[in-house]
Amino acid sequence: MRRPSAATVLVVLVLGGVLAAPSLLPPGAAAMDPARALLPPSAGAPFGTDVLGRDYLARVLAAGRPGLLIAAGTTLLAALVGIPLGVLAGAAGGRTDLVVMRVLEVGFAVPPLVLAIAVLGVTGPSAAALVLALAASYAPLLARVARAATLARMGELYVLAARAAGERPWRIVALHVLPNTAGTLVTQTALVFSYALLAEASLSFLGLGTQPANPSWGRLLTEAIPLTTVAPWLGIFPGAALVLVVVAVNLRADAWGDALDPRLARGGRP
Amino acid sequence: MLRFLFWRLLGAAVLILAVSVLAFALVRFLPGGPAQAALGLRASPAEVERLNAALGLDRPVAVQYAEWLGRALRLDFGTSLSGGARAGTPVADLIARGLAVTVPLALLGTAIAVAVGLPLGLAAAARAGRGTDRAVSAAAVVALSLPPFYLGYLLILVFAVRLGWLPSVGYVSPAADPAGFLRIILLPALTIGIINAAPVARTARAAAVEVAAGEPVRLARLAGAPPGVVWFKHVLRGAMVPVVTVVGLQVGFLMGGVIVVENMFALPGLGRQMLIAAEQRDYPTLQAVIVVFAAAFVLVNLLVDLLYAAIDPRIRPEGG
Repeated sequence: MRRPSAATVLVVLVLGGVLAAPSLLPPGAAAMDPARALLPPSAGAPFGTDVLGRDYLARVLAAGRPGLLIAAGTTLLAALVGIPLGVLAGAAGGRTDLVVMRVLEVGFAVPPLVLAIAVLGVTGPSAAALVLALAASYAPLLARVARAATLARMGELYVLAARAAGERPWRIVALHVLPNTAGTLVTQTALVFSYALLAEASLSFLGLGTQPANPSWGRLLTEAIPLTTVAPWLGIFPGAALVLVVVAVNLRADAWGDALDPRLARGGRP
Repeated sequence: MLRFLFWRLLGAAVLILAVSVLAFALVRFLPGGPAQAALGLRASPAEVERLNAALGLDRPVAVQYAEWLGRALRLDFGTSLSGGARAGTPVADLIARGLAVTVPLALLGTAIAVAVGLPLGLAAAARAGRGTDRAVSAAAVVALSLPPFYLGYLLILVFAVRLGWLPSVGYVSPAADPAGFLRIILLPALTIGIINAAPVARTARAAAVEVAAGEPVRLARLAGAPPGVVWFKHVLRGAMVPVVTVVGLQVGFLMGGVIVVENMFALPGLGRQMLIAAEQRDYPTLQAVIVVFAAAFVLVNLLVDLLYAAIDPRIRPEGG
């Protein structure tokens, strides 16, 4: 067992903190107090206060969860659809591969934000529609990576040997292909999580994400823009919180990419 | 080469057609629908049915699609269902007006991305493993993690509010005042340019490291070519193919950024038109904008494939 890397510690701290924060805040932490409206950051209110005199640190902390949950749901759905599809295309080859890849190409041609705005424009704002639309964009991405990784493994000597020995195709995939593509897939899935976080934040910023009663970081930025000149902290802090989370996830994904890349493997792995 | 061009164009056309089917299905089959949106949620089913019949939405879907496609091929995408000043405007006009803003913005953004990313990537490769290299890859991770609206906000804060160098509002059309238009799109273009510089820098670094370790570069060095010549003739050229590829593949990502900054800086481009259409449930416009964005993506990537041959004569398209 290796010691957890700095990237792991960072991602666990940041994600855990953001998920736990709304439950840990003392009741009334974000109570309104018109007398204390738009105070700049100080020792008593490290992130300052908002238009209604609410403590902004409490608001920023409470706004992390909705985006994380949407991004997690999106990533899970995209992985559940995209990875099996890609592995199937790569392992089956032939006509199956051709059909799957042609369908995925349609998915690539429509940028994620364009598809999501169109879907939400038809259904109206809805978390379920948002997750579905984003997952529909990221599933092809995971499928393409899964297909490429599977294809690379299918040519390996141990797969050819298993085939020659008459092993059934699904057993070859389960025993030989999947374990050796896991690294690539985990890395790519983590990256999809960071794309989904950014996409959700952008859609919230555009007014199509979570609703005002339940603001996410993107939404807080929208509210901060008219006050840019008088209260820049209203935009700086929620944006910085989002960037911190995405950087942590990206660093972790990069580290996985290095640790699981067979070309960089440092012992212990085949 | 002509045969290759023919097949690629045909493939691109089929792909755009498939996207148009998707866009059509999206508007027809998702819960909501034009009649419901126009009448509100309390409308009775009978009322919805009447309006559907009036709009021709009760006919077989294939017939509706064929009719839509027939008109779309003549660049007639119907008229906007938005209210206010846009009511009844041909969708094609909205798109043309949007493209007049979006195309210059996307081009300037891409130019900035390459102008920033390529030199940084090459500098990192030249000092691989040292401080410059590590600084560039750290900067790339941060840039890739920046949502466009946040970088835009920070740039407004610095350049518009603190320094007062550039305007952040006050749109002028490119036709009326080209210089003023350029000033207006500079901050938005800088926003998407900085974010998109990150993948360019990473790709350029990786490619340059590989080329620099390769046979031709070693031979050129042994032959006594000055380092500047080696870098310009071999490394830069070798890095260009992957950089052009990544620019093509990142077009979808770039478009996401364009949509966000257009809405943030109140630029009436395609992304702004799309958001207004989504807010107003303007189905004909939404449907057409999806197809236009997808067509742009497909055509840029087609162009990238054709550029390969121009940059690197060794790459010959298959079948050409």
